Amino acid sequence: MAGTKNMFARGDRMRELTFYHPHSLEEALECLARDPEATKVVAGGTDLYLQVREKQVDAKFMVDLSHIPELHFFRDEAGGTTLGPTLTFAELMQNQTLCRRFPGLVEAAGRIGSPQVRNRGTVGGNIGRASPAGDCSVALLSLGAEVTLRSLKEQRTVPLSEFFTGPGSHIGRPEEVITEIRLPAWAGRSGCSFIKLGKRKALILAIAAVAAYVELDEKSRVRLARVALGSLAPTPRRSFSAEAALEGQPASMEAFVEAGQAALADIDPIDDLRASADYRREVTPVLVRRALSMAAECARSLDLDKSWGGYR
Amino acid sequence: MTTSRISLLVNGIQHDLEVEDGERLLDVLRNRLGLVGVKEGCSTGECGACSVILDGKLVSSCLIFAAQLDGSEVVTIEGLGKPGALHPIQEAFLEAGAIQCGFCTPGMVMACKWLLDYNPNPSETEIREAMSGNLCRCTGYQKIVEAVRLAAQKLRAPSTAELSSVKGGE
Repeated sequence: MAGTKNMFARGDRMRELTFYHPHSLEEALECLARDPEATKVVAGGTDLYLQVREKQVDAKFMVDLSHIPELHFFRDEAGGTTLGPTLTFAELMQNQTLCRRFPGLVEAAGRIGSPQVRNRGTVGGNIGRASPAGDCSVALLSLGAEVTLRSLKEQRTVPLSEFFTGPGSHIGRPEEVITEIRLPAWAGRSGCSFIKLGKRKALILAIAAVAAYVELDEKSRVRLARVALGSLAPTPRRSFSAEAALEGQPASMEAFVEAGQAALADIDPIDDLRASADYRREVTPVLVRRALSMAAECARSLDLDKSWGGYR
Repeated sequence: MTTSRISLLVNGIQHDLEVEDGERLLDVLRNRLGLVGVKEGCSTGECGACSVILDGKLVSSCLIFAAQLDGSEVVTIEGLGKPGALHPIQEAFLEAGAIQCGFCTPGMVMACKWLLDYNPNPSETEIREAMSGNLCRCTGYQKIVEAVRLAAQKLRAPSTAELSSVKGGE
């Protein structure tokens, strides 16, 4: 057929792929168990397709997760909110509960790539890719997310803060699949935010990104804070120094400025295509201050909703 | 090399295909189905020239494994209008002068179709956001935005649609 000779002009690696098409999670895990080191799971594939073609990832077998209902769900219960890993970024953005309670996560999902990417890329894929710049990963870190991993033999749940080990790597084993992402129960008088700094408004990896989460007490002091950083270290990571600086402090601009300075202890920036390490050191305190300020504002406004007869 | 069988509805026609497991949706559309209106611009999902509507959603077909698409539905530029019977969006692009070399145009038109399907009266900000995955090296985007606003008018109230009312920014 005319033109087929050009089909693989850019990657002969693609000729060697074999797809599995499981219809249940159990089936998917069986496929994965056959030759885990040579097998990758794929949902949207917006990142993985390129990684395989450009030989950054070795894969002979692909397990298609996009037709498995057990992985595509949203559950909101008293104990917390649970996301299925194959929810796309667009689906996160359209979710009313997430928009109300976790606008930082929705903002992060909305800053990824482009509409075309967001209609295919998934939250599980973002975590599994373990990019230091993964926007959803940064937001989820700030929200205290936990990830459940399953293989044929076992299941385990780990805090996302312990999941990433380096650029593109994490503690998940080759035979494991991310099966759910859990957010703790929503706390009253809490707010979150996400800021992505980049050279343009779409189709960019962040120069730097910060996600913040705060819970305020009745005197508007910080009861709990989480600050997560992206593109500022080999992995998305929490800034425990910024968080410590906020403990018991009033939710004031002074406190946020202090926290911003404290965050510098937790970054490990590099010079790359997008920015220099020096520039990243310059912007980190600014972004942390802004993210905290927005999160506190969010906490106050959600609290106001509550006082208006509990309308949410 | 292994293959997968998929059943794909493309521009209203059902196709039963045996695709190679490494093949992209873009390859299926251009090479197997002859739909060369779908362009390969960058091959990395960053320009939007390959944009099509898959199961109602705008996607970059150069990043999608065809093997995953059994049971899916695709609309390409060829599914919108034909010479002599253009879709109002295509007419709007012509009237607004939003086409120079034309290479980004099919992707731009599909993005516009997707946008107007869910938001029939978008603001300029909403237009630019919705089309942010489509790059154009020729036009500087101004006339493309005007074309989208004109297209929105044409679809809402064809008799009153007027180019002069969409010129310039909001």
